[in-house]
Amino acid sequence: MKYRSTYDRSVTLGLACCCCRLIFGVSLGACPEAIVADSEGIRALRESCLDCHEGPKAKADLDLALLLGRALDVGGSLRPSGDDARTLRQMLGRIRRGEMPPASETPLTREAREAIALVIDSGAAASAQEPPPAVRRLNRQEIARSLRDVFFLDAQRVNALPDDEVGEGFDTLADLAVVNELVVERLLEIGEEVAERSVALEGAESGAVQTFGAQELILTRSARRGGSIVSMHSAGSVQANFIAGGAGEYRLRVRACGQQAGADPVRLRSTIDGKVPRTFDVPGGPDSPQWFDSVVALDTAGSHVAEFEFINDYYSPKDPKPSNRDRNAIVWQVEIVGPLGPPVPTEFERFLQRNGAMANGRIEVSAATALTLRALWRRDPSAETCELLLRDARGACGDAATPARTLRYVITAGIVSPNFALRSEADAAHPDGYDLATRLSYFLWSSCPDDELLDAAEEGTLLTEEGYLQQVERMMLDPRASALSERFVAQWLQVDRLRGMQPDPARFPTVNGQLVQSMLAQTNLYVDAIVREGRSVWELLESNFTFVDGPLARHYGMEWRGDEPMQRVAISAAASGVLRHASVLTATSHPTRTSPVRRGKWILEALLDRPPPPPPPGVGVLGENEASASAASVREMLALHRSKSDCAVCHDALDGMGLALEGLDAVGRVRTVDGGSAIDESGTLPDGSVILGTEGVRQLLIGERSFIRGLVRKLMVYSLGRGTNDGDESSIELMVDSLGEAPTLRAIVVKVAQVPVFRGLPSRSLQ
Amino acid sequence: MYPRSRITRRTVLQGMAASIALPWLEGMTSAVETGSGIIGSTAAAAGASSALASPARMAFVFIPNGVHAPDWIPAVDSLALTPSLRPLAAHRSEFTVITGLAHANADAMGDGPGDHARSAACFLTGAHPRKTAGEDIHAGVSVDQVAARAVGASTPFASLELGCEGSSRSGDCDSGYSCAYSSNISWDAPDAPRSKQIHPRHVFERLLGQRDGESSTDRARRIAQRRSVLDTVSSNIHRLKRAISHRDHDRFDDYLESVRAIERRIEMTERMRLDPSESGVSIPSEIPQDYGEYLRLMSDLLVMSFRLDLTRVGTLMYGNEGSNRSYPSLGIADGHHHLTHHGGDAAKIASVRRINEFQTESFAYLLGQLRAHREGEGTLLDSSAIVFAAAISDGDRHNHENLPVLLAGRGGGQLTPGGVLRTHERTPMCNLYLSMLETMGVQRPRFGDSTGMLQGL
Repeated sequence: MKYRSTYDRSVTLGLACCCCRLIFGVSLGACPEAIVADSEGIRALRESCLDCHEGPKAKADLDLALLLGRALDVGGSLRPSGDDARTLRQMLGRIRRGEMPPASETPLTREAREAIALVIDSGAAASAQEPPPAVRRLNRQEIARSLRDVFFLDAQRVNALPDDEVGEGFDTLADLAVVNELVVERLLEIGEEVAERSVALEGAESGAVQTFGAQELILTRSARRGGSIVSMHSAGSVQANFIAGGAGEYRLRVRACGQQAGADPVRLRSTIDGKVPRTFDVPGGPDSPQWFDSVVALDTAGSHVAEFEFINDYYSPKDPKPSNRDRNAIVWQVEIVGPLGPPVPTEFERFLQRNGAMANGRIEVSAATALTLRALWRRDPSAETCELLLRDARGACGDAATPARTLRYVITAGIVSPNFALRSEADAAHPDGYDLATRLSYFLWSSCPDDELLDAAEEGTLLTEEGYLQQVERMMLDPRASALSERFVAQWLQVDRLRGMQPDPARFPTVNGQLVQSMLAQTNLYVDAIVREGRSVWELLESNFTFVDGPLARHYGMEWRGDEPMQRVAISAAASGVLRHASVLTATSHPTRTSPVRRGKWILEALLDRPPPPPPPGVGVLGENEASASAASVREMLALHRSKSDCAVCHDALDGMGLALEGLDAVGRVRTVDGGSAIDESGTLPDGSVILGTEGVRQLLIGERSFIRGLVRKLMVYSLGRGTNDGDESSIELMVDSLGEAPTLRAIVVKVAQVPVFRGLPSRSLQ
Repeated sequence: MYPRSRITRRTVLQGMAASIALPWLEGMTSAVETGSGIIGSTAAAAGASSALASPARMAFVFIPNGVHAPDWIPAVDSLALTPSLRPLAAHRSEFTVITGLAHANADAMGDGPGDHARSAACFLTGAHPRKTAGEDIHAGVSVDQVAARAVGASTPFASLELGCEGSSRSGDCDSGYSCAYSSNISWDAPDAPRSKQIHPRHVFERLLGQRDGESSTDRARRIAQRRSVLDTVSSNIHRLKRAISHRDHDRFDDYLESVRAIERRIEMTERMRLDPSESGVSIPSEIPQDYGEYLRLMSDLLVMSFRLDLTRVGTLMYGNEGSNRSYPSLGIADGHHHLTHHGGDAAKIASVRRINEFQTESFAYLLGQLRAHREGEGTLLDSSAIVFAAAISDGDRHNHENLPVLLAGRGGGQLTPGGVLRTHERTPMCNLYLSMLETMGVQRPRFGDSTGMLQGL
């Protein structure tokens, strides 16, 4: 999808003339006198670009003279601000790609181009590294996982939050996590749900519930069924035959209303096994059923009958008011709950008990509030904050301000407060211990810090080299670290997009939603194992194991009988690695057939972090898209396409690797034949060398520095919540150099967690 | 951090707070909103200027990936319905096909490929979005939000944003543009798309403020507690803001505005006392498997929100721009976007044509529902101005001139639908929006790249 969109035939060659359309809202005055002579690169820029890019009528609104005036320091070096650095970077990209100067102008000499690159690059290297954004809203996953870790439950209403927007390939970008009415309203609902499910109200009871609707009730005398209700026009009753699990107290409940007439309201009498009669009034009209309860003691387990009888029928056909002539009872539902016992404490209540905030069924509200807010807000709340919140809670609950209700209020307000959903740092360049704990936990766990991490923040050990590393190592071993494969890897390898895809059911009838889930789980578990077991990053591409369940094993043509659950199995090196995962191979195919171009693009973009440049304007549409095309005809079309020099520049690289993967079909199965002809698994690379099959691609990638570099850079984007820029270049290079040739995947993550800008340390000197 | 330049909702909501008007359902039809001086002066909603007249409404229905233009856009010499528009025959008197409109700001203008992302972001804003993969996104305030600011205080919801496809989950959506551009058409502020809702049940519950099986006592208690929680949270935000740098206040301000908007809505819905049985629709708990049914449900929700006067401004995206959805129910196994680049292939063109026809059928359903509901002397459609359009003209070419555009409804008597309106080539789409704003009683000198009102509507 993405690839095709890059063809843009409507744009003419005029494009090249309007470089970098950026609007400079602020004029900082004319360019100051150069104090020292221009360097060669600056001179080349002035000579070649200012004809079009100077003054108020500058093309593409790019007044380069003004920009240079701002960005040049007294020594004649570039020290651009953030916006200017970005503009210069885009400019350099266009110059390097030969888009600038446009064809109608004198081209740059090679020397001039290199000089320009040098001056812009060195300016970038000197630009400061930006700290992560100071305020970030938690995304949906982070909200769900945080609540799970604090309250030990999965909040259903999290699903009603709006979808997170993706940028730079990830859903963690601060600028895309907007706050609006819808988000806050959903947080309010989530807060209510979590509070109700975490804290039981005083007097709550537990017991097995047996429900009897109109269809399950036994009717006597005048009782009649009408849809989902039973009505009684004269004397009659409904009976519920239920099985008592044991001796004890049982609650009999009936949901009833009536058609009211005469002086008295509808009256019902309940009995159990014909004994213990209790009479009660049912005042509601036909559309206002209410629940009526009573508790009875049963001596024996086994079969019992609960009966509800209509005992005050009234009929006065001559009443002048038609609505006052006939009294009828209506029963909607009967429930038997029991044997009754004290409620089983929720996981959260157990947590309160463990921490001394609940004893003998009674909540110590102040202690519970402090505990809850510390976990939710990721730092110790001040005594004053707790006081204020409790005051509001008691005010709102009024007479009903029991400890449980008060704590429920605190939980809801705690979740709706921006202290929960907004991660904010007073000074992002100098994070305190709590800030660091939060940065680390959302990076490694997509969730909030646990007690131990908060303790390390409080005690200050997190600010020491040793204490920090100790926590990182501990966190990587924690089960919560599976968030890295579930969230980071799913987006890095772009397999998350499988969820919105539908392979053609006619061609791939066995591929259903469940199988797609298994595909995703395979990749997930596989990468998680590589992280946890301290395996080399190259095992992502080649190892001797994988994970499959019954259906997925059969999908791959392995001989499995049943529906075995997901498990680890040994396989040959040739069949291993993510290049053989159905998740990856399906996500990079069309619904009807493979796309060598997409697969090639995926390798460049996801694995090597070298997205191919967009095709130049006016190149036309590639004819590789016939749904019915066989592998052989696609290969021919691609060859034809590459014969155009405009296309060959990029497609030599894209197609070669994609074509080498043609031995795997559009849902990731091995194939040797397509459309009647044998599959050709060879791909020719730009340098003329030929690679063969998955093995060929694998050998090309293993040991490739840009694979590690790309992974490091994307981990930085994911953890910092912003795109990387020139200021980050040197720290990325330093990291990659220090990782060596075959680092473990875990070491790479740990290294990224130690980047100075992430830890809030001054960056090391440039080397 | 780059400095943000924002026109925020704050300004708007301040204006709103001063004039919480009663919803139209209670009979107060001539609510006069002052709006905000920054956004533009606002007169009383024109459609609501006389007692008992229906309020004016507007909606925008967006179709992704452009269309197969020769079958959709009428040729210069023809007034007949084109093949793709034939499903609308029964409503021919209720809409105008407009040809010649363009979104110049969706063109590359030096930014290279990325027409899908760019055009969706430009669709209702008329702005040229900043090319960025994630940081510092920037488009403009969309026309629906301009209207929402002016008339939104009269209804519980200032506007409603609906969609039928979730946001992309990974990777790059379109040539270096953030996915936020492709999956939203409504923009609150230049750096903040409005989050759209895609789950019918969630929309329904939110609109009616109801929970299944909740008794009125429980509900009253919940509402009272909500009010108090929101109050607590507001003061909490004020304290928090003191602790952080001014530069980083934006998100907290957004938060506070959101809290205020919810508080205001609680007030309003409490007074309206909506009964879910009035909704007239039944909404399943899950998103339907059948895409046609899904579109109909979302249309029902839009109609319901107009009918109960829960909002007067809505947007509905049939899909995200660049959507590669396949249409198994139409017998189309390939992805939509993929098919639109047909390169002249007859089979692919036939599939695109079928998809376009299906979209028109869905829109015909919406018009039918709006017409079926009578209100005062006319129908819901009579009081509305509904755009059905794409931001790309021909899906195979990615061009943004001569867009496929249809305007339905009588705009409270200010529009005369029927026939084909031919505008000069490359007339800004924003001219149409400027005229539509007028039907909402919003007078502005310009919107986006408009050069004036669109004549002849």
